[in-house]
Amino acid sequence: MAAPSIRLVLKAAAGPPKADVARAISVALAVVDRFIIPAYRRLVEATDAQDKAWAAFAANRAAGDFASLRVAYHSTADAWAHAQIFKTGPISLFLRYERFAYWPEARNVTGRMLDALLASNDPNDLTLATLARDSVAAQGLTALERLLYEGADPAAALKAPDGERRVAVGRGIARNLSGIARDVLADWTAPAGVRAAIAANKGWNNLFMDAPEAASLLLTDLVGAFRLMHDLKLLPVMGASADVARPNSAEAWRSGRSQRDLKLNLTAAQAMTKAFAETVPAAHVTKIDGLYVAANKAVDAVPALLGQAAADPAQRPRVEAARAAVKAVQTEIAAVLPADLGIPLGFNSLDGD
Amino acid sequence: MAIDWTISRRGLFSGSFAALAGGYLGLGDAQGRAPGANVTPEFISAVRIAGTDGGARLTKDGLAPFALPGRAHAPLRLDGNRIALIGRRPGSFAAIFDSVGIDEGEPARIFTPTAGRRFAGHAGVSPDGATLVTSEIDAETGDGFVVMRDAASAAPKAVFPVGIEPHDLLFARGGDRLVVAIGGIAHAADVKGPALNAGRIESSIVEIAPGTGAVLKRHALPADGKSLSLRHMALAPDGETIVFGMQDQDRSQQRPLLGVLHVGRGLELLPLPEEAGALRSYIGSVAIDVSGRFAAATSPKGGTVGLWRLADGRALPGFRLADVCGLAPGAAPGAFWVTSGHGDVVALEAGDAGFETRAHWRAEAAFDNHLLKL
Repeated sequence: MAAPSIRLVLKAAAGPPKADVARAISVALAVVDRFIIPAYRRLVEATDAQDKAWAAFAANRAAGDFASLRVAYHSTADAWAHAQIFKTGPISLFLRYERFAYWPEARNVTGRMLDALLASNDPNDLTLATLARDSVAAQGLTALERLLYEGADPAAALKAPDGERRVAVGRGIARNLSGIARDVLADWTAPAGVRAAIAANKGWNNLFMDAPEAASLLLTDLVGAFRLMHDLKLLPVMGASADVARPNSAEAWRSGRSQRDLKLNLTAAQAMTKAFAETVPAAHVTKIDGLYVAANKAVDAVPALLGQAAADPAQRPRVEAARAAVKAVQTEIAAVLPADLGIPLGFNSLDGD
Repeated sequence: MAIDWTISRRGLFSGSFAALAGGYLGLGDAQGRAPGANVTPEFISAVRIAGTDGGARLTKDGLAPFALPGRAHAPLRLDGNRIALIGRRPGSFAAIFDSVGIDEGEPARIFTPTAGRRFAGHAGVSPDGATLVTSEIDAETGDGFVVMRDAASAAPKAVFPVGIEPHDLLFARGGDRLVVAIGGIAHAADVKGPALNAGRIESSIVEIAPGTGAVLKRHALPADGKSLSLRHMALAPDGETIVFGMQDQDRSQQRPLLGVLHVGRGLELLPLPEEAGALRSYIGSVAIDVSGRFAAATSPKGGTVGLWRLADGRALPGFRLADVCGLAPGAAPGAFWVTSGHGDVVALEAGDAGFETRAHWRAEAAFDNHLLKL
């Protein structure tokens, strides 16, 4: 017989500790009020301005202000980089999250779906009702980016005599983004919305049944933000070495936003952590803050075109340093916050299979 | 309350698993009773311990973990003590091992998907034990295949295309039919992004002739089920009845998540449990008890084990357990075992009034989606 290694202990019956409802409500509302609702308000403002910019452009297409469309796009993308880290709540209904920004995309599906939308001449294709059940790939920010940054002269393509459909598609997407943002904000803030449900320790729709579960979903989102940054935005782009890096797997590389989006995700995660951390022991907060400082510094040092930097042996160490620094924050948060907050993180419930 | 027993286990693993030596596997049942002989567990599950992925054999003597090249998903009994454990989607490995030998230092044998493909986490074995079948997905195109393999060597014998995203699979009717759940969610296997076709999923269960790959029957969902993905199945003792569990990609409405398929005939959907939203649009694992009277389904997102009476399809009261997913029938009629990502191992007994808890163990381990009772 081999040496003993794991002991079994027979315990008296004791269920899992009852969730501290009051604390869960307070933690969840801190995150919702200080961070989530403001982030969606900002998204509503940015998408609303973008909708107006496209409407103005369409009204006078030949002389339209193309630069204003790009400004509006960047402002929306900035706001989305904050909201992108929440997958909990109304954004998860009606495929809103995927419809707002279909990414990462496989096999140029956005390009193909957008081409089909451009080739069609049916104005009904662009109504909110149709888009709501149409392909998620051609109706969001990633499709809009292509209209504004792809091709030799995207401004001329919109202004050209045959550019009417192109502008109509851009307008349709802009209107759609504004509609999604507005609906999500309303679902958070309405009298029967998510915030009210959490405050009353009730369930909301099909998503959670009480405040402790909502708090757990929000904490899962915070940890998920690092999976988004590390597992989706960095690792697949970096590959195993510079020669097998995939620059075009980087997010929003066409508009040169890859590093910026990563940085804003990190800023958002830091703000969300701060909202959570009110009741966390000071020593833990200090350590997490220190790791955030290091991660911000490392991400700041990454060139704007993150994908190209990953493929360049001279610049790649900066991307690797950012990856390691982001991972360090994730590891600390996942190790410390669930216990400090009394909020369990899921394992099987995290992702579908 | 007392220390009950200690076990012996050879050091089969190193690194972070080794740090567990001397750790505790707590055991306590809901009524404070010691577990009797009727609740003796003996399982295989994929497991994560202290950040390391592997598999574990779980007996009343404890948890004997072993490391694997990555996160595994579903275990399958090939014959006797030979077990296959398939890598979680997109899986690049599967392991075959002896459930006793692995505890004595006999290493697992690793095999890989066919070229350019990834495992979907599941496998099936023919009743004569000769054929192992794996569901695989092309890493570039996302096209799905079932790969018939020699169960002794795992060497591929035939490859049949089956459509987008095959997941769980089993042999029914004494091995005459290979039944495959086609999840239908289009991803390139290596891209962790959103589905290409969320909301327009063509999911189905197909019956295939194992010798030729011919599709004998395709069971599709009603037209309003385009957001549903058919993913997991369990075969009833009659060899003809299959319970299947689904996941809904659109949570804005509540749709059925469990159904019964009669091989060669058709499928019917079962009602949701009474508590609205208890399953959170997501079922991770399904099982039928040995009597064929009850079906159970776990929802890790809802922390719920749902229960149905198969005679009339009625949903009975379920059992709540955070992050529950692993599910297997016990030896006795009505008996089920469940495991969770928080290390729970619970023996349940189903009756017409719902579940009763027979034992509740805890281990410092995260049990993955699927559980195999030996």
